[in-house]
Amino acid sequence: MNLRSRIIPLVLLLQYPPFIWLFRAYYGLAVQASRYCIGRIEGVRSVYLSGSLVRQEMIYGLSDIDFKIFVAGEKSQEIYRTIRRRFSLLRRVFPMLGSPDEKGIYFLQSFPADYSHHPLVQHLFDDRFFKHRLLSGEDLWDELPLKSDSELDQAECAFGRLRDWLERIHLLADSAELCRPQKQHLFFKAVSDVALLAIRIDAPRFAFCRRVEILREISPQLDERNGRLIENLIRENGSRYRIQCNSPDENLQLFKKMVAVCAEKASSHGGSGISSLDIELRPPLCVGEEPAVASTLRSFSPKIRNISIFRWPQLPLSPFDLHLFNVPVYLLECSEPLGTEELHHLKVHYRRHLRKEAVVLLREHPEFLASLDADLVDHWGGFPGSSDLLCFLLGAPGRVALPDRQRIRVETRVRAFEEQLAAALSHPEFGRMDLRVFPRFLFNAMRVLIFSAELRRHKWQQLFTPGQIVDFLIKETPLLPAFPCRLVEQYEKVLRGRGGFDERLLPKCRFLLAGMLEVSQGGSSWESLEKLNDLPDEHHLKISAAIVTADRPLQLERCLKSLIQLSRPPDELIVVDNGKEPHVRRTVENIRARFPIHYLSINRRGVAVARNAAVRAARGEMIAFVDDDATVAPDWLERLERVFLRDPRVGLAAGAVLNMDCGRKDWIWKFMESVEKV
Amino acid sequence: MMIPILKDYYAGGYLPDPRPKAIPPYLPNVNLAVRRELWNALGGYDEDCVAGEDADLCVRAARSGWSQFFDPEARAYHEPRPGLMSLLRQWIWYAQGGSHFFFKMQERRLEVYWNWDLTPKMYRYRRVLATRFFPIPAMVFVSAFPVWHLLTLLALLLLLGGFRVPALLLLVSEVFLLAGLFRRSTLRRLSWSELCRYTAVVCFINWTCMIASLHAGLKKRKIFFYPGI
Repeated sequence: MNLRSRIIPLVLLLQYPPFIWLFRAYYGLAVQASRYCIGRIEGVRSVYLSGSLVRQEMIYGLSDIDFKIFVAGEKSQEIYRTIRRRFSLLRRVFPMLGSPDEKGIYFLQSFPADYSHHPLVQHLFDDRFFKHRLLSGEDLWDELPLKSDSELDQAECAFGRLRDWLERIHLLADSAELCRPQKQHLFFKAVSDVALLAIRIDAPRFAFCRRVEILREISPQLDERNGRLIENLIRENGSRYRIQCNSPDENLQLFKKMVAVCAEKASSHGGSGISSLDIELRPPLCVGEEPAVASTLRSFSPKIRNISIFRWPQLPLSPFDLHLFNVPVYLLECSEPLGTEELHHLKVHYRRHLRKEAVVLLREHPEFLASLDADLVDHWGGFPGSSDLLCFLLGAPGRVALPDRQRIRVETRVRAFEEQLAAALSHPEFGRMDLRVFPRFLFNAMRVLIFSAELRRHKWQQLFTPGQIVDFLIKETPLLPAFPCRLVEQYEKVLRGRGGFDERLLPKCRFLLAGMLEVSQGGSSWESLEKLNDLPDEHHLKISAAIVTADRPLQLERCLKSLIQLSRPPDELIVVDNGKEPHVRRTVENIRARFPIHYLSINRRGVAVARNAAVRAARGEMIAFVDDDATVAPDWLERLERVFLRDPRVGLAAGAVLNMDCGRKDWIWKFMESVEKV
Repeated sequence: MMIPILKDYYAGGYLPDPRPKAIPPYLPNVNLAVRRELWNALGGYDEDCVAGEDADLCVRAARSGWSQFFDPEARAYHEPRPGLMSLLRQWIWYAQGGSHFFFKMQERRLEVYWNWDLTPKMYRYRRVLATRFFPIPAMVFVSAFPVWHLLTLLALLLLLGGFRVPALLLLVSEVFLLAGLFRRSTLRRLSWSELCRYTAVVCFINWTCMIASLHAGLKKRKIFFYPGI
């Protein structure tokens, strides 16, 4: 409970005339202050007041002051930051100022591009529902480029708004941060907004002045019990939340019922416009019951009747949507809707223990499917159409036809994913991705690319496991099976924690992803992956080792011996002699090695010259330097090669240099030891 | 400062990108792998360098946007110099190389050694941190040795000149500061004899380098002090 939630009940108790004048003055001062501060910012063309202040259903203490700010020009971080900074300063004095997040600040030049198709924004700008008042600047309201009513897709508006409310209720309904009146008001707003969406589906021209009118309008359509709950809500609101008629459980149930009503109406309206894309329903893979998790979940409430487990047939939102890949879904079916306490405990348990490993869905109402994770509110394909998903999840037999809206949404998401992936592949820091994460990223990307490529050919191909992906690749594309199978092996290895991804496979993986991206964007067909067969699976860099030496034949010999014993020997060795001793040449000639050794003699012209000469004489892609008085560890080149293979932007790689244990005991040696300690 | 990433107590991974005019820690030539494309792009090592061509290459690579990676597991074992003369020769060499390097990197004469653009992320390199809340890496501490010598010299001069009180105050404060810094720095891990030897050798290195760098600077008509560490 923070300070605000303690003060609010006090303010609500004091809603009597002398105090009301004080509050009104305070709010008025806040409005004037923001009008002055914000209206003066360069670029701001007009500031509108919106929300409950304009609609005359203010409750001093609970209501926020909402603004809509129109800024000339393109989206700019500077102005955004300035506005937010000023608001945060103002908010220290006037805590009732609402923060104008993305929904409150509009940039006029990019308005058509950003918002004209966005259903939620259109809903917010609709005069029948959300009134406004000009505070400062020019009146731009009528000139805003919004689509007219007939072009609006009612269900899309509904979906956007509904999703907002579902998330908010999930997050806040059982939160300890809010006080009782705040929660009551939250439910009031939520129920009335969802009711508005339900009414609009039947009667798009419906208009209202106060939220109470919406509730009165929908109340006759509900059964007796819910009608009574709505009356209670209205009464609570009228009393400025000094009394409480509904318990939080009842409020939550009422909200869920309203969502279900909205869904019913939406699906009954969405009967037309089904596209010709048919999906073969595949019964989901049923994993055996995991008794521990299932019984723990069951113990939270006696109302949970049945728990079934599936694998999640879900579309990822981004290339990095990794934590929900192939997790089990627990579907809890309840005989009655759960109460807030039980729901709260269940959510806490989920968040603490199951969040990354499972998805838990609650089915309290035949039409209402909720998730315990607020992030997942949108993931099930949204209303309308959740009944389709239910059939899908529960394995109902037959074909499901995907409605147009659904198809468009799926396609949009897939295109967005492709764009992100293209950007990621060409990003300079792509090579820095953690190799423990890379195999999951790889298979996730392949899964969606295959889905998208097949979608272009009007086929619905959802693959879940890496094994299925590899089967598809082997069957449908001319790729040889060796490489994909190696990728699966690497995936398993990383999954079991037995190591990291093999860097030598990385270059070919990058080519594979680029090729698949091209196919999925429609540029070519699967046949174009044939050219990947010519690339070697494991990429080897051509490495030349180089030593610059001067008059130290014994140390050089020691160094050469250690180079011969490398686990990954270099492809050639170049020795540049900077001195005049003849022994050096003889030492080099006497060494037997599996790789060619080239000897260069440069007469005392300096180290840099010698190194440049070594690089010029070398023919490898990577040149590894060692000093002649040093020796190397056996895995030296292997490690350096892996660094270079992993990230093509790395130009220099070095290893540690430790003191050699050569039996010396003089003061220099002891000094070096103490340097090591420090 | 020219800081080589040399020992395996530095954290492995990518070196952070340096700020525009900073001289970042560099990867030394003892154990270095260079990509052919980088060598072509940067035109190779700078042949005017006496020593420190690796620092020069690394700085140029970092400024052109190439990444640098340090893998502490790719070890090389290095033998220190055999005798006093070769140590002396090595540090004179480093001093000349260092002076050339700093002249090349900096544009204004007064900024030549006072490189305030020290990479602020140096602490990230150290995997092994001292346990006191304000660890002073010995590196920073010992490079200030010549300053202590000069202060002691100043105190002696004051004493000779008859100003006993200021001289004594200076000496006493110096001793306290030194003792305090010693306690807080990583040098407290050494035993007394090791500490004496360490101090002696570092003083030797510092003064060799300073004299050699002064000499190198005077040849170019600039005043330049480089302590070497």
